[in-house]
Amino acid sequence: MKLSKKQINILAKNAQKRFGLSDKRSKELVSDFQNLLENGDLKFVYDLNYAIFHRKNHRFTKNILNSIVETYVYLYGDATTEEDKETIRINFEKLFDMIFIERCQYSKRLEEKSHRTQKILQHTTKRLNETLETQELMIANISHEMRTSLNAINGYLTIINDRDTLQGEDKQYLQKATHATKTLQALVSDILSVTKINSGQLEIQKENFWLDRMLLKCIDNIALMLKHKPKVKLYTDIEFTPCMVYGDQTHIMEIIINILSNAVKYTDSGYIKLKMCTDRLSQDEIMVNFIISDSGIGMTKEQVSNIFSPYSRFKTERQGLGLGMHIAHQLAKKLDGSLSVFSEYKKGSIFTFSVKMAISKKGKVNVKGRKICFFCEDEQYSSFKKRVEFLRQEGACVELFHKENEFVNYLLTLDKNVPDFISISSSVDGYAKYDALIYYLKSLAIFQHTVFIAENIRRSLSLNYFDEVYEHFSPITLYIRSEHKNKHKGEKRFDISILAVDDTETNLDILKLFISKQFPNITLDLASGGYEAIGMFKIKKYDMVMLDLKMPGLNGFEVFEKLKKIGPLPPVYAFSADIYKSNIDKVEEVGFAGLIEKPLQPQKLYNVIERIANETDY
Amino acid sequence: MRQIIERTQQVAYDYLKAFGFEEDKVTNIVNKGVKELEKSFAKLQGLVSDREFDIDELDNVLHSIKGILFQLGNSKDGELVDELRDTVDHSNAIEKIEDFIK
Repeated sequence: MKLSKKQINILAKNAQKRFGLSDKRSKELVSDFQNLLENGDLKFVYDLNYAIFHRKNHRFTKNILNSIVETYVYLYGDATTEEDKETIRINFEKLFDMIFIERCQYSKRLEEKSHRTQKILQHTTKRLNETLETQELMIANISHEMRTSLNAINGYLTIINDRDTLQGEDKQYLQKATHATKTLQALVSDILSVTKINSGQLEIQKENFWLDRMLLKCIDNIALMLKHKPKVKLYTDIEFTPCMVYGDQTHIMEIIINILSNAVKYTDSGYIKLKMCTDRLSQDEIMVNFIISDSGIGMTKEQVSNIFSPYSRFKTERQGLGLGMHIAHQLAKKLDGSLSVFSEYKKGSIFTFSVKMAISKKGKVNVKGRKICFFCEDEQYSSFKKRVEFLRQEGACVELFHKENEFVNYLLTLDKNVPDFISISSSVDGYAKYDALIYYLKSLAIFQHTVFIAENIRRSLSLNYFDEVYEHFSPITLYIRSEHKNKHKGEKRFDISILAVDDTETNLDILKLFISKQFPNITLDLASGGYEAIGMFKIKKYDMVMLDLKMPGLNGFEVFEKLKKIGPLPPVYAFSADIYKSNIDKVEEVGFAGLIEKPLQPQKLYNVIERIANETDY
Repeated sequence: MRQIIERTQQVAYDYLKAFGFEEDKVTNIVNKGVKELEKSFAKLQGLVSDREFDIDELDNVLHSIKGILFQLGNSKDGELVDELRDTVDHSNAIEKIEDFIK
């Protein structure tokens, strides 16, 4: 089919008008169209297809569609023969098919391909996550196993060290082995923490706690490290906060201890300062800021920018792998808090950790009617002043002295109505003087129930008669204890001897664990059977015996009968998990002093031991 | 059996740590307890597979397992063992024990 001149002109003009083409370009286009109709040349189709694809403009596409429809209507109406009409129909069908239908099919294919790619991606991601999880799990398991083994190694090294049998070089080797084990333990612990954080296994466990008590625990934690740095002094500036808060104490402590340990590690002389201040956010919420500064080696700008990256340790001769600050930073983020650092090279660093905490409704400070006496030489000690004001507001009867002679006169002239608590904050030399005074006061009956507190002593002092000694500050909860245990040095130390008999080693170990924790001075001998126990009883005097009732060979009752024949018996307690009435009756009947249940109920056991210790004349 | 041991191990860590003991002490005791449990369970398995056993011996082994479970804080399984001890002279005692340790 050949287009007439008139048709070519009309089509060219139409293309010119509709698409803004030049005369030449529109004629080329019509020529291509004619080639399609005449020879089936697909150039025209491809050009259109490309133009639509290239422009990605729905108006342009719509314009082309309209143009094709109009051209079809025009040419089809103009055709004189059936053959021409058929040619027009076939070619326009081809045009539609290639431009639009093929485009739809192409889109469909693209969509399918994209869908397949997505599936592959999903599958790959899943596999990757599984691999990562396996890896995390593997690291966690290995770390756990390593930790278990290291604990055992450490335990054995401690035993060897305690025996003190090694000499010279061997002793040094032992120290090096102990040191290396501790480094490895810390490293494994850090790896476990990082694994936990990365795998999202770290759980936030909130609880009610006192901020001041938490900080005292943090200070205790680094006390040993500080002992090795005699030229470094720790100062505290803790805002008086007389309320309990609700937060993740364990992880907050981990962050603070981490920063404090680093401060100790990187400071060889000068100071470390722990400051805590709060901002009230609402009635129920406060922002707590912990600021830890030091006069240590400081960091360069580059080091500061890497401080929270894993393995960023700067001074290689210092211990550690550099995971600590990374862990602290990750933990702070997990707690919705912030951890920032400012540092000057060779001058020191300042770390600021801020975290929001809810104010707990628990833990009311009930000191109504309590009589408290303070002696504080420094009249400007602001935190102290706030504490006194607070205690007064809460109904405590507070006496406050700043002058030594007035305070001592007050104490010596008291004849009744003595304070429940006497807190002394003095100069370093003053404490030894007051320790001697307390020795005298305690010999007077009226001071029998008074608790003597030394605080803000700023260094480790050996004080014998103070009941509570705080290097920095005393916690406010000290004054709300309903019954303060008045146990000071010089009182009974519970140094009695106990013989425990059980055929199961684990039971004996657990018993030993509990007893030695509460009463470190008690001598506890362990026997794993009746005959062994009888042998031990023959050669040593015991203040108490604990007998497992069911043992292979001689049972507890049989052992008891044999012990009776050896000599005067100390209180003998049955130790059993079989708490049946028949058993209890039998225990009473044969003359046991009582029955201690398994599993151990520590407090009950401690009460029994305390009673025996108090009755024992030693 | 493995499950009970693993469960006990887990419970024991939490139980002893809650008293504030140091980790290395807890680990030592838990490891020792686990070994004793394994030994006692092996003995128990040996006894029930024999079919003709001494009831007193069986009771002794169960008593020992119960003691360790309780001491390590796994009172749930400890109570189950206690119940088993009450039925050692019943005709289906072996089945019950096998069920428990499978």
